[in-house]
Amino acid sequence: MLKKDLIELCLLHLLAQGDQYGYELLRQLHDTFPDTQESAVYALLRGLCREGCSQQYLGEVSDGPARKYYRLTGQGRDKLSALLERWRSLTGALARLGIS
Amino acid sequence: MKQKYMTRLTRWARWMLPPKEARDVIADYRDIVDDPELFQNLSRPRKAVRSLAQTKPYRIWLAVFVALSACILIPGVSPLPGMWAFWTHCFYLRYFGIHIGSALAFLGMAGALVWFRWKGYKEARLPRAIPVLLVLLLAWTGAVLLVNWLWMRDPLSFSEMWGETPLYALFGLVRIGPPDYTVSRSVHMLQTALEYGGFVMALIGEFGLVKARLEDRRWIAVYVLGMAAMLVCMSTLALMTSMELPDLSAAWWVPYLQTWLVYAGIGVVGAGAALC
Repeated sequence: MLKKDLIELCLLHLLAQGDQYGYELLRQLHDTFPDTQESAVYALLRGLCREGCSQQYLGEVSDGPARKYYRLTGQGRDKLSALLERWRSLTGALARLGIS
Repeated sequence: MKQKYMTRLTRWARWMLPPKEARDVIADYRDIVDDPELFQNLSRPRKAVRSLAQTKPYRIWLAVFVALSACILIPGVSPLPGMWAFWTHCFYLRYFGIHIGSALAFLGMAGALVWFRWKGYKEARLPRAIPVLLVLLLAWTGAVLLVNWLWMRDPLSFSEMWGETPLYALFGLVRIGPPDYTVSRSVHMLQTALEYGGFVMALIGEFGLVKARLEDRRWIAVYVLGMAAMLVCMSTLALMTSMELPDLSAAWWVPYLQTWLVYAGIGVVGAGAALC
């Protein structure tokens, strides 16, 4: 499992918790992947949007300018399940080798 | 610093990404640059946008840009020194009864109008520079048509208007003829104005094309009218330097002037369509 897949897994997981805008997502991932450039993480987020795993829409806010939110789609849920499955099998294999 | 970053990112995003994608990315980055920690870790605007660009749509855009630029720049540079090959094929020879330069110009106008109507981005307010440049282009075209009418109606008087100049004094600009020949100063000045004026009109049109991608699709009006202004200059030069004798009736010049008026009219209508 590549780092790219891990970041995608995190992005999809965060979106599964609820709709969020780009900045919120990047902010949350910043501490988990401090050595990864934000632009690279953002490119993965846009890639998920292009693949149809997430959708963007203009959200309503009470004050300030309207923001574009990302929401998870059915395809995104399928991808999240597939990535989670791979992650679990990887951690299981590592555990069998005694790596915890 | 943030402002500079956003300005560059906006330009790159609009250049490399399709309009909707560019809008979304710019909106997201406006939030991201406001966070000092995230801002510190951002890559350079060009690199950031490059990682988002899809190869195929970007290459299609580049191909369209090169084609539209060729349509205006090849005829536009053709009368300049050293560009004789371009001039020969664009405005000297005719292929199927038409100058290639005129065909390229009309292809460019139609292509630009269709492409930017389909893929262009429109701001809420019309950029102020567009009407200013359109007025400038119209004034230039009007002036060229007026001078054309003057010299065609009475070529001899026009030729003698500012007297004659020994050709050697103009050597380097005219590039031909032994030193003891003379040339009408009025005709020489008109030719030089058409050569360089047409080139400048083409450059203004090219500027409009770039701005149409970066800012607002209505900039394509400048490209279309710049193309028409350039075409009027080049068609006049083609007639002035042609070795074919026109029909010697008193009103021999009327069909030529009508053609140029049609070129200018197409430019005005095209620019109007681009502004809608």
